[in-house]
Amino acid sequence: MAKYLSIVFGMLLHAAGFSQSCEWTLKGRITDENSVEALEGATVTLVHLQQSTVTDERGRFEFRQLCAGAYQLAVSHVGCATLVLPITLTRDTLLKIKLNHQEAELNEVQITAARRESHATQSAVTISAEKLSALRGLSLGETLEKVPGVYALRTGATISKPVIHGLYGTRIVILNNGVRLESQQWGSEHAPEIDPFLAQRITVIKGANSLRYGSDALGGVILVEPNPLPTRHGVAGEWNTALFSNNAETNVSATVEGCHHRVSALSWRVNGTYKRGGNSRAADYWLQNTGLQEGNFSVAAGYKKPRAGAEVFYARFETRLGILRAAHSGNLNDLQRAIARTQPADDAAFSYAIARPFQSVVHHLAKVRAYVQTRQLGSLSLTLAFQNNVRKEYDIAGAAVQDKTRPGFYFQIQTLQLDAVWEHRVSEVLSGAVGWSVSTQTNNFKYAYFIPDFRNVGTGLFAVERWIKGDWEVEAGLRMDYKWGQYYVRTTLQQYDTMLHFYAPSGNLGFEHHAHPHLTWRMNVGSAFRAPAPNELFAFGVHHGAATFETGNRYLKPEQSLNWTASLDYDLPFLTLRAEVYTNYVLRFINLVPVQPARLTIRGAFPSFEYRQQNAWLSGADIDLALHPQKGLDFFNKTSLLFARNTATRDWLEQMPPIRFENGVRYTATLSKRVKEVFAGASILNVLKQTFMPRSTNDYAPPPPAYWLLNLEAGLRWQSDIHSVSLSITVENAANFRYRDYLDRFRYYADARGIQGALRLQWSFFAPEH
Amino acid sequence: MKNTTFNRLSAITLLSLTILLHACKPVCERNPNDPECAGENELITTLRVTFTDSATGTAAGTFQFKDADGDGLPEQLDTLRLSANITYLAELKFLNESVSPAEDITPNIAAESNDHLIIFSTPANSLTFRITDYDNNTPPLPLGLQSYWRSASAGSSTVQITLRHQPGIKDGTPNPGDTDVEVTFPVQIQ
Repeated sequence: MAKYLSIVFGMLLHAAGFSQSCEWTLKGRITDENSVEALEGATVTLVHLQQSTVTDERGRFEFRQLCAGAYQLAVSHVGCATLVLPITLTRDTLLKIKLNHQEAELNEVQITAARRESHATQSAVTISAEKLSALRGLSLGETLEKVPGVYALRTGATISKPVIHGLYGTRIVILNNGVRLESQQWGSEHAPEIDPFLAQRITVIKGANSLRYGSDALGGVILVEPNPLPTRHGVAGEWNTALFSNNAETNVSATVEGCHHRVSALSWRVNGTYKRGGNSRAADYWLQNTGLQEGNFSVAAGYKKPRAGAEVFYARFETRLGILRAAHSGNLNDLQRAIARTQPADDAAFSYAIARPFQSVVHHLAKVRAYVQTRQLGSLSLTLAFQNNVRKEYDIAGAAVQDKTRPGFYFQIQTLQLDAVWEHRVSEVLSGAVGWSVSTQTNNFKYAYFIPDFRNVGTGLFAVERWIKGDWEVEAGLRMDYKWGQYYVRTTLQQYDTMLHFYAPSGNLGFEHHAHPHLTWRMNVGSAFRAPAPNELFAFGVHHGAATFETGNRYLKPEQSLNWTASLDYDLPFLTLRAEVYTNYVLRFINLVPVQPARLTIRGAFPSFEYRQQNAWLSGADIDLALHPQKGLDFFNKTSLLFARNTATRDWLEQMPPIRFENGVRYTATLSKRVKEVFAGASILNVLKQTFMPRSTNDYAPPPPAYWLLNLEAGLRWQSDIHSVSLSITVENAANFRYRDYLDRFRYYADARGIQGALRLQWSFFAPEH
Repeated sequence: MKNTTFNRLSAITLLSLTILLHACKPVCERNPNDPECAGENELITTLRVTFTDSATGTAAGTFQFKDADGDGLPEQLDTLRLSANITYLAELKFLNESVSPAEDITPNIAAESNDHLIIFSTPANSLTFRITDYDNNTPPLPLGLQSYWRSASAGSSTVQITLRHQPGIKDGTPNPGDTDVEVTFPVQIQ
């Protein structure tokens, strides 16, 4: 936000009076002259009136109740010279403005444009930096939970995975600063290794989209993006503190970035985050061994010229997560005893100590990106990324274990990816991208077998073209993927090497129509495929903590989905509505199915599960409605509906998010030029009991009852030319309601977290060079 | 100028490709003798029960549950054959037979007696159990590696032997902790 300040504060001239009628509206849409993409975040100023606005994600702006007359309209966007247009207003006017970024900061705009292009006709929700500041300290899964259609699959209070339209894990793709996250995402208790403090923008693209980001994105794509590297001369920084009351958690994060006028092509950024929390508390008792500790840092540097440039980025993520002691089951009898108890048997107290069982994960990401661009050929960019993920799971070491310090499971996965994308413009109305990617992975395990060692090589080729004319935008793309894998199966029963190949096409076709200045609607048909994950193919053993014996199926075929989404945005002064309906048909949906007989091991009997493929059909709707009866006052409703069917058994699918509503009210006011925003709000989150259950189920406990949570928030934002400070207090589950969530894997053992207060302070500054 | 840039780029591309296509072999495939790569070799595969007639001191049989490959299909599950109206001394042995030579886990359990409890249960009234060995807690709590089994009338039933792991939370009851071993033997009392 701060980057627009200098422009806004520069305009202090007074308006000349006009005596004519003052009822006209000036609207416009700003696009990039070279890429034809809409420009979000451009500042538009009516110079003599001191009125400013910022364009929305479609590049649109609007001024109301203007008098007829002559104006100077100043348009500026990060990194490009301010464009001043003289206009004469005699009636309602719609302007189309093209901004030229060719000379300065071309790369940034191209990146933004490219990313936007890839999902323009799809249903995407962006959490802006401003909204993120109210969510600082939460994990990625918890942050995204606020988006309609996104749920969190939890393992207690500290581990969460995003679920988009009922799909999660290896069925969604997460991009961390442009690099596809590669880790052990097949595990439902394996949270994404991403520090949300790094992000200034998180976008959720709902529905199948494999086009640009590679295979697997049956459920959707999550883009976690920092700001582009700075281009303003000077040093900027941001400090975040978030304190949580429930588990006495402290979060601190700092970012410093800069760019010097002597080498203005060169810019840099460093970021660090530390968090530590103790045992969480349910409404009535402490949850033993649920603390966490996390430390992350990243460095980035870029050298960018209009014609060519390069960027390097390195991020390290490390976490240690305690697992609820009561959730560790030796066998099925233990599990059933734990379920029969109304609360954990251990008499826990508050502590920061993390004992067994716990997880320890370290993730490294290194990226180099280079680009060249010319007016005739467009831009070509190459990205090379390396990731190393080491996950250790420490279960409770029994008498047979000699070395009590070693983990029970150890997985290491290393990934090298190369992506080449050529962005081009065919004509005034037609532009697109052609891309090629290659990646290779090596997986190592030590100690207990659950998934095999493997190595794989995958490659994909895609082309996507976009046609924009008038109010219509049409996008079509095609992709082909091939994946080769060699697996080294080493169970106690079987030892063999095997090679598997998977290949499949994916595609996308969609349009967006700005039917009316207030109404935009879009429709998209997309297809994506996912090769079976290594656990689905070769798992063999007792799944840690789940008290199930899982057996993989090496004959599984890739899943292929066909997804249809229609959405509309309706914006009126007193109402905004964003609604979408979707249906996603997944061919050969891989599901863990109970099989008889139970496995009899020396630990006792375990229910036995095998991976099978049946077609699934997931449909639903997401609604985000807000009413603005007067300036600053918002009433909102967010609704997520999902109906998931197994078409083979003509029955419901298990482990799907229940219906969820959130209703709230929020009041925002601007007190003075410095105190930009003061807000207070309250909302009630209502999650219904999951009643869409199959006729027969092997679940250990029925879905928990419906629950509602009261959430409160209040805060303010203070801003000067150089500093910006925001302070907020939120209380979640303010009524300390005792509840369990259906998609929380610890619902068998303990209640979810009780009242949680949070205090957040964010300070950002920009020190310009003199 | 433009040509050299593109040439350089294609050279970089080719180089990266070469690296990419040379996918590394997993560590354990390169060093199969690394002890950490041997899989889960630290487990209990066998529970062996040895009976002695407490009155005469004569051996009364050894029975076992054995699942050496850990696949959940036991290679051996004996029926405990006992005589009616006799008091037996039952001694338990826990072994790891997935490694060679087989490893005896029983001394580890004895050494960690404060963290372990063995529980005997039967649905029939024909057997009663009394644990004779104790841990080092104050007051001492039962362990269960040694116990007296009193058989009553003839009949067939089952006995469940459970090894509970209760690190730091042992209180003499079965409830705390989690299960390391749970084997149900068929019993035949003649």
